[in-house]
Amino acid sequence: MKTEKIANRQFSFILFIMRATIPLATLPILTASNARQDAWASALLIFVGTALTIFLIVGLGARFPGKDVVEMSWHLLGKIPGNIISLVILWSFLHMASLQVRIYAEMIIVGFLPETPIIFLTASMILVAMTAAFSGVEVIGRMSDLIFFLFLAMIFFSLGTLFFEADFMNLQPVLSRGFEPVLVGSVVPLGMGSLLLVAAMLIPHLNNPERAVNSALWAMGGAVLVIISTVLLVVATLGPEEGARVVFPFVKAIGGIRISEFLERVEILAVFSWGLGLFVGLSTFVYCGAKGAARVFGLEDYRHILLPMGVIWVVLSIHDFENVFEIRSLLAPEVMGPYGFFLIFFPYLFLWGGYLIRRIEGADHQEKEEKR
Amino acid sequence: MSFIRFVSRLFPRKKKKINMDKLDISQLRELTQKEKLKPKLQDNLSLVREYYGNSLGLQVRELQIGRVNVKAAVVFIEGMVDTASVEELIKVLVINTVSSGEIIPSGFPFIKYIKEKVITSTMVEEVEELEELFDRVLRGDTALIIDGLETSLTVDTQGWKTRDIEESDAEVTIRGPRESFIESIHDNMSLIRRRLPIPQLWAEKFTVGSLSRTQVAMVYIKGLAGEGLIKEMRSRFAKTDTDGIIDSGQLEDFLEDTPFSLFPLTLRTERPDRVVAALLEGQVAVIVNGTPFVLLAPVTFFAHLQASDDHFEKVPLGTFIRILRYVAMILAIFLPGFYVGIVNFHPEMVPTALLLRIASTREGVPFPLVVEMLLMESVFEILRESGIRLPASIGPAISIVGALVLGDAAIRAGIVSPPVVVVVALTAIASFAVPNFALGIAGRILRFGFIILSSIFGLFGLQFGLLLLIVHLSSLRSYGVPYMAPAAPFIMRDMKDNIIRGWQWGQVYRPKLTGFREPVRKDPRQARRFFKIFPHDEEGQDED
Amino acid sequence: MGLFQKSVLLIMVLLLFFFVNTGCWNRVEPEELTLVLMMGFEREEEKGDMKVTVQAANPMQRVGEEEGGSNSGEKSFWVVSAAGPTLHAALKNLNKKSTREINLTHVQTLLISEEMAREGIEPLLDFLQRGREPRFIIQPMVVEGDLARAMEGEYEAEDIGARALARQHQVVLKELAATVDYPLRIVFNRLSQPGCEILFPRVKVMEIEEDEMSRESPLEVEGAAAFHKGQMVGWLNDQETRGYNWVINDINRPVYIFESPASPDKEVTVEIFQSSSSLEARVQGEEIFIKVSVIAEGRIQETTSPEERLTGETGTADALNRRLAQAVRNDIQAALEKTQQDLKTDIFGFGNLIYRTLPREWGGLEDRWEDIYPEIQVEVEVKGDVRRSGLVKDPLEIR
Repeated sequence: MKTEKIANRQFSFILFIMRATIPLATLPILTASNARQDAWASALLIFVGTALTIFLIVGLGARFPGKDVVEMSWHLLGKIPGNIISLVILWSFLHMASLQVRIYAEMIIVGFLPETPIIFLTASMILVAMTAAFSGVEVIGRMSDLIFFLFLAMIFFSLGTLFFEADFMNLQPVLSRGFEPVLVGSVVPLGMGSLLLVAAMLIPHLNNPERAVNSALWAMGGAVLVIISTVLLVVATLGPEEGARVVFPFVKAIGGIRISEFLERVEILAVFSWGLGLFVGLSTFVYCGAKGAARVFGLEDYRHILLPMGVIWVVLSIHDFENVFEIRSLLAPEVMGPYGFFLIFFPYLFLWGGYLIRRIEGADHQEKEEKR
Repeated sequence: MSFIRFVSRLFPRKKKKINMDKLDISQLRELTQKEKLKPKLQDNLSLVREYYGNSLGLQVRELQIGRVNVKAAVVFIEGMVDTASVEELIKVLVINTVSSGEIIPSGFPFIKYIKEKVITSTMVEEVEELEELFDRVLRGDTALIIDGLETSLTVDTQGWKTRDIEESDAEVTIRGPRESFIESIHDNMSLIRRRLPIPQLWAEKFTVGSLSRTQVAMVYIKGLAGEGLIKEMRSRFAKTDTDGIIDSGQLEDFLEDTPFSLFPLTLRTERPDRVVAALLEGQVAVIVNGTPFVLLAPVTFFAHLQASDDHFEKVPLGTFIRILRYVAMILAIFLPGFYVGIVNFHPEMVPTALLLRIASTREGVPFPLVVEMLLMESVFEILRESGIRLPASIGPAISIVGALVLGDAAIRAGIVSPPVVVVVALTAIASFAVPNFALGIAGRILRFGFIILSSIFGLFGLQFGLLLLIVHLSSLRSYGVPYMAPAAPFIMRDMKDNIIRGWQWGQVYRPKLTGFREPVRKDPRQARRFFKIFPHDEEGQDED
Repeated sequence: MGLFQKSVLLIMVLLLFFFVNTGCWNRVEPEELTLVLMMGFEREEEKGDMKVTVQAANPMQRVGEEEGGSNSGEKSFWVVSAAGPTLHAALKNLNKKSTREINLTHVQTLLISEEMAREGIEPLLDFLQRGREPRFIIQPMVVEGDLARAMEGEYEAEDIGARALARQHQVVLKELAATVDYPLRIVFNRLSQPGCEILFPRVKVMEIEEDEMSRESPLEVEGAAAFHKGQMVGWLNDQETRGYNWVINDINRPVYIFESPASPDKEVTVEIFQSSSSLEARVQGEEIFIKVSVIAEGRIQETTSPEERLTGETGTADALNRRLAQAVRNDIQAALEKTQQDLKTDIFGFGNLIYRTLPREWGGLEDRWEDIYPEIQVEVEVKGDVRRSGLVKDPLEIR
């Protein structure tokens, strides 16, 4: 089968959208810490942290441009340890995706459709993502091209509406709470950074895998810009304490302003851009998850297991959390931080280890392989 | 074996007469294909008559050629030929061969003599098989069957009535060429060739349909259209196995990949200027005899939203019109669903005064809003459909019934609420702004889907629908070209002539995905010169 | 059309049938809603329950209007009230008296009775924030007088009381600066921040005498109710409210009338068109200084003095500027005095100013801010600037 190819630009867009969706959702840097008005500083920290993650994940992937993470771990660690490592990564796809869908569905239920059973919302979202994943990564890439501009336009518009109502006095005093809350604030988003593991699955599909690190960094830069401007404007409109108290600050902030007599409560705009972004992320997760699982179980075509995987996703999104309080405790820094770090560092410690050992003991071996 | 053949030659008349009544069409066709012309004139003529079934129009004019008094016959179909040409043919055969007094050089075949020295027509071909003879005669040629020869000559005497080249009804433009294609493939080809007088404009011939024998031409600029695309088209033509096609729309079915998609993957146009513009971008045109609609492939979604006018008007105007059209397309697809979703599920988003209005007008309306909306949309679709088929003389009647009786009376009777009528009317107007009929229909069908989705999940249903639509549109390909190009995949260079309309001097590059064989249209440096705000400043400076 | 696509199609069709059969969960037709436009809260006297009064639009009245028939005298809104132990319970109880579902998404104004405000508005706040229906742009107001009468007030030129009141509030704010603009978003923000208190606009229920001509408005928006820790502590009159608006730099077009510099017994009217103000805090040991600098630009709208000639040389312009500045200063001083001496509540947010700009000092002040606030030295610096004189140069001299 011919490998499908996506452009590096599309890869950047996918990562950007996935990363920039998180602040639209719960804005964890604001809600999960008590940095309050200094949350923007945590966003800067996130950039540094994610950049490191990118070097870790994408950097290794770019060294094996033809291999996705499963093949790479087979290559570096051998079949069985490789499979174990891959299962950790696949679990992160599974869990991150179901978590994000669940949060989205929670928001719809709390804010818009209180009587709709949640399973219909998560199931429809996953179903739509599955159709995208079924069409292949090229389609996901093209879709991200299409959605990127829509997403950006919506975010700009919604941030623009906030801008005129914002009172930037709310951002004072600057950094008066010390550095610790700022650090804590960056933990949860960094933990969510395990979504970057999809990059490891996407690298073999890139037109130009050598520049993958570069593309990913651009995406993260853009996403951090969105996060910073969102958090600044939300704090400026709602106030620091209120912003941290609300469950979905961005949605609440947009709902809380009147653009004009006839245009108010446009929070659906924020929700829409969130939905679009979530969809891109979700279909990438579904694709990567199914692709990786098919690899691990030795199946030819990932499309065959798409449907069962989808069912697992739906079930997981419902049964993973009994109630909102559980989501909340998962998103607390002391849980999400270690969890996310485990998902990223556990596999990659071994992979890098394997890579370096190979490098040291068998430089000539590798050369032979390249010649072959 | 040879003995049997010898015996059968002894008794030539013993051959069994075929009973045509017992054969069905494919057997008849097979029989015709087997049949060859006989040496004797009368045999041939009876063969022709037998297979033609003595239907209306067949004319057999027997005559004798020249001094040698060779018996011959001219066979043609009345109405398909230009009578003057046939007369001319007969004249040269009967009179000229006599008056010239020339003697046929010995050893010079008679048929060659007739072909090369007698007949003055532009096109003469030798034909030996009955199938081919019929093929030509039925296309308006005249067959000359000469006694004693197993080869007949067909002479081009085509001349039937065709429609004049008129202005297009379906694709009207304010500014720009007025000509449009007609039903004759040759006239259509000439319309294109007149605009592209280069030998590299190639037209490959195909015959589609075992019975309709429709002539189809695939037109492209050699060296500009991708070879892969041309090969692909050829292979698809080879697979068009059918008994007949009437219109290019039927051919479209064979050429497309996604039978369930609502979106047209080839562009149908009546306008030669449109075809030429497409050819210049490396696309391929398919002309089908008997229909004025020419197919263009590969095309993108955005091409369907463009009209020729855009390029002929000034740039700001063209861009404005284009953006207007995109807005109209979006309205036509989403507006009714949006209305249902927002009023039924998110009343908080409707301005208070408007919501009160809507509520008060809906007071006493018996249906839920969704049903009301679906009802009115269906009524509108029915109205539109019946309006198309009606003769112009009673066309106004339908608009009176539709607009006055249905619209006004339904509101007065309290069956529907006025805002719904407004929304439906707005959507209808918006859908007429989409220049391409096929895409317009796609939008209209989608609209119903969106209404239903919004009635289930509100605006989130609309969102799910939008996402599905995006997935579908992104996965479509028209002959290898992504349908949503240049938006997805995003190609900055091609934006100048898709979302907006760029200046003609700025059209430096051909679209990346179709015109890749020679991406540069013109000298890029020359285009750059136009971007200078103060053109005088550059005097004396040299480029690069 | 692979197996997968078929199965997806099948699932979708099944889902669709399911949707159609179970009905759609949240679909509600607009005519089945009671669109509440204004809510009023008070305490029920006997049991101390929450009592909610709502004003809802009456769509039936508009139907009559459209059909061209004469107005049947039906009101275009209706008022109903119910009580319950909590706010939500009270609202649920409203459904007993309504034929349609109560919907709060279009509430524009919230009226709170004075007693309730004095008792404390805390019980209201959580409901307003937690539910999905109430908007963050709702303007709460405190009613001076009978809440029920305020809810039922009918306006001559407007059909729905709630919309009329919202407009009236905006007009008063813009033309007179005699009220405050505090939607819930800002209320919550201020309540959650250290060192600032809130104000709600005051609505006065007008007493209509029998023989009086019918008034344009049964309600008057004027002044504000000052709160301290969520409890109302007193009223500000329109002058004090204006002063307050000057300090927080939220002023539109108030009018000032003062003695003409040319002839002392005559008066000049100046309307403010552009204004700006800024605050600055300084802490010296135990002493706290706040500097309020205001620039007021005005334009002469009316003068009764014929000697009022404005040229570049005369001192008249200077005198005008000084007098305007003094008038503005008077307002600000009045507001300051009232809140510092009388009400002892930091509505200006001086504490918040210190918290924002001098966070280190604030740490030591926060606990005893209530005691410190009345002692703050506030320096008011006003720069008046009369720039234009309308369409005539000099007043008319009658000879």
